[in-house]
Amino acid sequence: MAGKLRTLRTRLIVVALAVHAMLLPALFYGVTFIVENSHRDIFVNDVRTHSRFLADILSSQQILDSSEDIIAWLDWLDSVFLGSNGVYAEVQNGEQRFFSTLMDEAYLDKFQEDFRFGDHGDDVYYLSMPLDMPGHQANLRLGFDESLILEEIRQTRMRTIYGLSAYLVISLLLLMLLAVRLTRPLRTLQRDSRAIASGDYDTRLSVTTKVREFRELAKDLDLMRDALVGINERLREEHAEHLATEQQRQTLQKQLHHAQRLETVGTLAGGIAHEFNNILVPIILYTDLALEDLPQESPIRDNLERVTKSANRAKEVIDQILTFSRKTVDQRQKSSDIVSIIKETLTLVRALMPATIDIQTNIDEKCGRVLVDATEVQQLIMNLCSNAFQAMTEKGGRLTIDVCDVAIDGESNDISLRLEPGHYVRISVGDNGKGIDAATQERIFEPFFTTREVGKGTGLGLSVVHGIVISHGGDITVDSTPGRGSTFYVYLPKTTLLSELPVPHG
Amino acid sequence: MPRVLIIDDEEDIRDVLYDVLNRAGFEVDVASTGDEGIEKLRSKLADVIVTDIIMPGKDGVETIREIRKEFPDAKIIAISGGGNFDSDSYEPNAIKTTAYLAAAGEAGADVILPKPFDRAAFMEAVSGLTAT
Repeated sequence: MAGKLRTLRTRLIVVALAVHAMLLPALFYGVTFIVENSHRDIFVNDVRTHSRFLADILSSQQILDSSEDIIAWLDWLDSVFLGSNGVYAEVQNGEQRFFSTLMDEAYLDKFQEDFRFGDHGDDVYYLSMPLDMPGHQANLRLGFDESLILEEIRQTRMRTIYGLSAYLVISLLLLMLLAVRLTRPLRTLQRDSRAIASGDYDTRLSVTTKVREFRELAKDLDLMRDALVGINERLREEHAEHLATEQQRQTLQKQLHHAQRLETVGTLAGGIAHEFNNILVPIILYTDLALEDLPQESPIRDNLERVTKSANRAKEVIDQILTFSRKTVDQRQKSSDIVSIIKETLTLVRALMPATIDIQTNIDEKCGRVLVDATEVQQLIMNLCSNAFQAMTEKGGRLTIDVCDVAIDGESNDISLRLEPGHYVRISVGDNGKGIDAATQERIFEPFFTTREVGKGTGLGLSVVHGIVISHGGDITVDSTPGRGSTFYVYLPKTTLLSELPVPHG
Repeated sequence: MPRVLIIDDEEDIRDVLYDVLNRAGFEVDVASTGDEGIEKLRSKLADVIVTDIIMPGKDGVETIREIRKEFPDAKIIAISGGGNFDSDSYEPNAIKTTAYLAAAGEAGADVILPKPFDRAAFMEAVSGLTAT
């Protein structure tokens, strides 16, 4: 109930009722007071004037000397006075009392000494007039019927009550109408604001009312909505931008981390290679000296020859580590005809692959020229093809080698590429083998990282590839889905200037 | 009898090269640093000088440069294990092998021999220089 009282509609009606409750009784009593007074004044003045007139006539006739005269005048009274609204007439002369003969006997008992209008009980107004007759103590006493006037007053009072009631009902109805008209636009605004608050930003705030304040309020609120929606949009865009930047930052950081790790590993590998090369010198040379000292038929000779062989293998491994750790473009780059180098290598690849592997090539002959070390590019292709083959050994598959030229603009391309904008030859080597999981992709170019069983691979193949690509100023990426296959993309920068082409050696 | 001076910070390498050359009939002297090698050359010149490149103290390139300056006719073989190397701290971490070997060549080495090498290659290099 308390909650209901707080609504605008209830409040308006309650206030109106309170005002009416105070105002209407006062109005009612005021109106009836004026009506009663005026009726009484008219009635009383009328009967007084009338009585005075009759008393004057009686006084001038000097008729109290004989009883006959009195009776004659009483008859006259009967005819003149009782024909109107008089109900009682008496003349007192000392101890003598004469009554109108037409008078109702009932009034004889009811006569009382009150001469006030509206006295209860008999509805009769009595008044007494002294008669001016020398030598006599005479009075004319009259009674007039009040009931008609009283009835009129009652009816006026009833009409006042009806009128005020009608006024009350009509004003309350009008008020309720007003309340509805005032609250409807407020409710519309409330509904629409709630819709906006719950995320429906397209809701317009408008009202159909003609009340200017509401129209202006709706307009202002709508302006506020526009401003808020604008701010919201901007915040959302900023947030999206921030997310994109953050994502890019994370990718770059990951990349940097990856590069740093490779560099650390490369540096370490270089250091290890240096130490091992020094260690291998005495092993190789002392073994050679020992072999020289041994007789031809000595059984130890075979063992020592194995030492030499192992040392040479170690040398090869170290060479591979050095290839990885070498990061500068050295003077050994000799050829720029990359297409020929790739094609020659693929002839070799075809010869080595079993028939279960379907080799498909798509080489753009005019893809451009790259200053490369032919041997290294050969090794690069061989390593990638060998890895692809390893991924497909179980049931065979398709090996695809694509060569084309691509332009790197630094913006639209894969941001994981660490390349200067420019033109590149892209060599793609793909397979539909078992694929590489994300964790392996992370470390795939690290030296000694291998997924093969112990003894089945050195784990140097891809790190050598990485070293070759980096030393040529290019980059390498891998795209793989476990179970569907992998593709390695090698980017090598194109040579455009004649001066960069190698001078043929003799 | 041709005389060979070996400069290398690694004892094992000095020893094995000494044995190899000694067996081939050369007169051999050894030094563990560039400065020591230069001192020995001053007291007695060698026909062939074999020097390591990556060494603590005075590195091989600097040693070759000084020898070449003092003894313009000296025959020098530079040997290196390659790898990465920082000449300031002698931490085996960051120098370009090929660039370093090239620097040795520019400094005046007659033959550049990457480690590890076999006996035949080494003897061929030494014999080649003593023959001329």
